[in-house]
Amino acid sequence: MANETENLHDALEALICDEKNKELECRAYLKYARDLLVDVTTATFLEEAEEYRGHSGNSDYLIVCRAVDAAGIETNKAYLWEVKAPQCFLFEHDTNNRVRPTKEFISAENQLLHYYEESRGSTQFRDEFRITHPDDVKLGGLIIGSKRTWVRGGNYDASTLARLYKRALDLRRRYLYGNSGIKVMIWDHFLDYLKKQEAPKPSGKVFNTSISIPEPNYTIVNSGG
Amino acid sequence: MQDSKYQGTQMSFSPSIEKIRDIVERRLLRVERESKNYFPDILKSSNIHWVSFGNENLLSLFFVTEDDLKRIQSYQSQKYEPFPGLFATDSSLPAAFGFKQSRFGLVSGCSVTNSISFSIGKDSTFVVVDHTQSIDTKELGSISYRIPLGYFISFGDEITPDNAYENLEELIAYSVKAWRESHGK
Repeated sequence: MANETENLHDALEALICDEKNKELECRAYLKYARDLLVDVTTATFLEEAEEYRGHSGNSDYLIVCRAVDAAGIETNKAYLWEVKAPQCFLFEHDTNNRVRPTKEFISAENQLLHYYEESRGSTQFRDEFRITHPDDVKLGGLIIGSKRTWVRGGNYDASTLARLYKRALDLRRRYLYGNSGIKVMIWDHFLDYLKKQEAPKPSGKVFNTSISIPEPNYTIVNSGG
Repeated sequence: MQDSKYQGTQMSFSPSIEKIRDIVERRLLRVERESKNYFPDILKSSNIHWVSFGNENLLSLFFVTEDDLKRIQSYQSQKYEPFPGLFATDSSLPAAFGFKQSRFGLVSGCSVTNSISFSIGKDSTFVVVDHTQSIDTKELGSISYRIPLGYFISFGDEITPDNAYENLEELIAYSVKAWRESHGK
């Protein structure tokens, strides 16, 4: 298993680093990170489809799994994802202090919303995957770009670029995606998920004296409420 | 010029009971029996307790036994932090293991004596399973306690309070994958 994971990681990394558009090749690796693409833990993935055909076009990645709902009843859930290549940029220069989503990013958002609305309203779609309620068709999100394609254009230094990217994405998460549950993932995230597991290296440092127990400087909550 | 108002909203963080409960239920409690088979024992008990804490540096989530919870509440009442010596976000302090800009780490079945266990830098996420911490303290003498299961998410340039719960959920998904794979599934 370790070797398989290592190979998957290295192969995906090579695709992400490639200069050419590798959307189709990268899509094949999503099945190894299925748990990231659903919002439940399940042992039963019923369906995975690349390019599921709908009236408004093809949905890039569809994953259907069995989940247990709050009442303990097993139910099928479908998640829709829109996939773009790791070579696609997420944002581009707008002003010296602001970046805007690229055409590819906006297109992915728009496609995802159309596929989602069409699928959740389609009796044929729900029948095909034995989904009983439209609410069990879920918005997954967008998989696009990589760390080296955060922002296109502009003469930003590295820290400004990172700050503007983070701000633009955080604002979309906070004000546009908050209630819908849309996620934005870059391909490096899948790379991290597939990385080979290394045991943390012990530092060998020890204390020679007793420590003082500090007063907690954080907020503590627990399951009791 | 940086937007100080926006930057300011990033600074404080308190865990939301509702958000954590939702993630825990979806990812760890409301699951098929087949999935639960390879979960750690702490998640198979009938009465599951969790403790979460957060500040401007990190968000963490621990699953603990009834006895652990009593110890934590006793420490809290004495104004002691609940897990003395377990971790530090001050990188100048010596620690057995260090995490910095490292995602999806897994530490399982370790015992650390006379040292802080984890030095936690920015932008890191890791899982701790079946970990024992023993340390001499000025206030309570030698203490030892076990962490059946814990999750750490540290903030930085990429992990922020805005995506903290997303990162916690992904780390939990990762731990489930690791447990599944360790059972050859």
